[in-house]
Amino acid sequence: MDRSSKHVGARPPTLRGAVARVAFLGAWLLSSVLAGGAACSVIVESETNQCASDADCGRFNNGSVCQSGLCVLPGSPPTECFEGQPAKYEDFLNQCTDAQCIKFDNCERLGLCDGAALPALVDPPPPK
Amino acid sequence: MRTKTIALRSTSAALGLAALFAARPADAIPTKNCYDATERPNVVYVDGSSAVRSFLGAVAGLLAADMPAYTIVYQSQGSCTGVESVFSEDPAKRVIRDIPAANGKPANYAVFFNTDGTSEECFLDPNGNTVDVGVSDVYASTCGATSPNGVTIGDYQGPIQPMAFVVPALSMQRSISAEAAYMIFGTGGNKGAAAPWTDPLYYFNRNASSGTQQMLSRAINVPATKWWGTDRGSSNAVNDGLAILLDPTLAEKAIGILSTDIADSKRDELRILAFQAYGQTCGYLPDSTPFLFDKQNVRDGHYPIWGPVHFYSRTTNGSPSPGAAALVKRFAAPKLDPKLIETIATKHLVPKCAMRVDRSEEMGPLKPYQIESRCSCLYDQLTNGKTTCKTCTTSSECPAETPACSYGYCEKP
Repeated sequence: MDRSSKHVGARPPTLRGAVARVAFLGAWLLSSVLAGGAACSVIVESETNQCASDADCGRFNNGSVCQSGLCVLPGSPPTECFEGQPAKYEDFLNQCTDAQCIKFDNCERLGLCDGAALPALVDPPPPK
Repeated sequence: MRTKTIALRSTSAALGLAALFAARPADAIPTKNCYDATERPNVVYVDGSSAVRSFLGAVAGLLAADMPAYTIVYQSQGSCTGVESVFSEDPAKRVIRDIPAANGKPANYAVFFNTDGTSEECFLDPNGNTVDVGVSDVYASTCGATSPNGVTIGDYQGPIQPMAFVVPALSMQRSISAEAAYMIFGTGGNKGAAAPWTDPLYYFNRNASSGTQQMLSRAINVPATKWWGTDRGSSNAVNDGLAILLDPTLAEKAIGILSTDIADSKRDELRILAFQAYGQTCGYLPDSTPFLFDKQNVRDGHYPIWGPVHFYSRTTNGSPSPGAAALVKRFAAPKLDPKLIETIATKHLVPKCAMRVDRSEEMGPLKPYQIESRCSCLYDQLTNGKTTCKTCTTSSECPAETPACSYGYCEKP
């Protein structure tokens, strides 16, 4: 389900790229439906100028948010989650829920793949 | 829309940069005395967290309805300053004083709250006024404070306050991981790897005295004293600085930190980012969707950056001073006044009775939380305008799975 992060968390395209993005989203949605897979980001309406801010998507009353002029559902309940009575900290964090989640892909966006370590802290410059 | 956006870019860029660098003009000196024998004969002096200002304004109406009525006089100085003003052995540090503009820093006068929650700047006693209550977003231990010998201090815990990473509304970003926030605030963007947040000029921070920064520090494992970015001086300044970034390019670079009571009241200008903690497989907003205010993910443990608001007060024989008691005792009641719950919900905070999880130290382990006088259903009704809970007047009307009638609804304990 990393597709959600690719759509929701990816760096924004230029306005010029919005049309291409819509085409890509449409193709992705179609392929998702054909594949029978659950989508993490779903286009609510196919206009390209339906919103300028999240508030414009409020008329759909479904939690959608504005991305590149489109109202899209920002996330879906997690597909991998902890079932049962949580005990450890991670159990609480990853327990099953019907709330929307928006994955941040550390590998794709930060280059932190396969358990790579974080860089060392760097002291900030003194305040001016 | 596209044409307008591009046309606004140069202007808004200038506005944004001006907001970043412009010095505030010197503030006028207040003309009203914080204490007034007629208008404000009973005053409770509060200082500390800048994040709770709005909430204190709302609580002021409740204090005004008490007998005797009290007025809150408040000076925003950061959580750890609020802690110090109660815990310090030095009497000079346990008073608040007028802070006029000086050396390029804006004035920071105290305010008193009117019954409608509005505030007015006022001047304090020339010798300072002793602080009755130090309010903090974090535990006193987080600020390194311990009670002096022979002094007892009460920690009256108020509503749960979530903290959040926020971006301007025009940003395209929706979520952030703890790892990303570490790279941003702990390394200055990790040499461009933490895109789009790679320029510390657009990091809207506080300082190590801020409870917001202290709590978020623990969530991302970056010491509060080692953050990259610029201390904007107060939560309101963080909000204002981010909100004015109307250029999409600048907005995309910007990130700040706020408590949700402030961020939620500015959703047309700011966006709270979903947070994906270390070890968490997906990022969650404090609320179940971007359009609700239910704090579902805070209440059940999916969104972990939160803690109770702490009202610290010195006590004698277990009791705070009458002025302090007027404010803090209402939070210590076994069953909260429904009006207080409504006030808390209105300010986008969470009453403890609506929580399903609890913790006993700063960003500490989570554990299930049970309480007889639960208010989850009432809170849902107040924040979402609806609830699926069954209404009741007595517990005998409630089904076995939700057996307790509390605040008019059948609840699980």
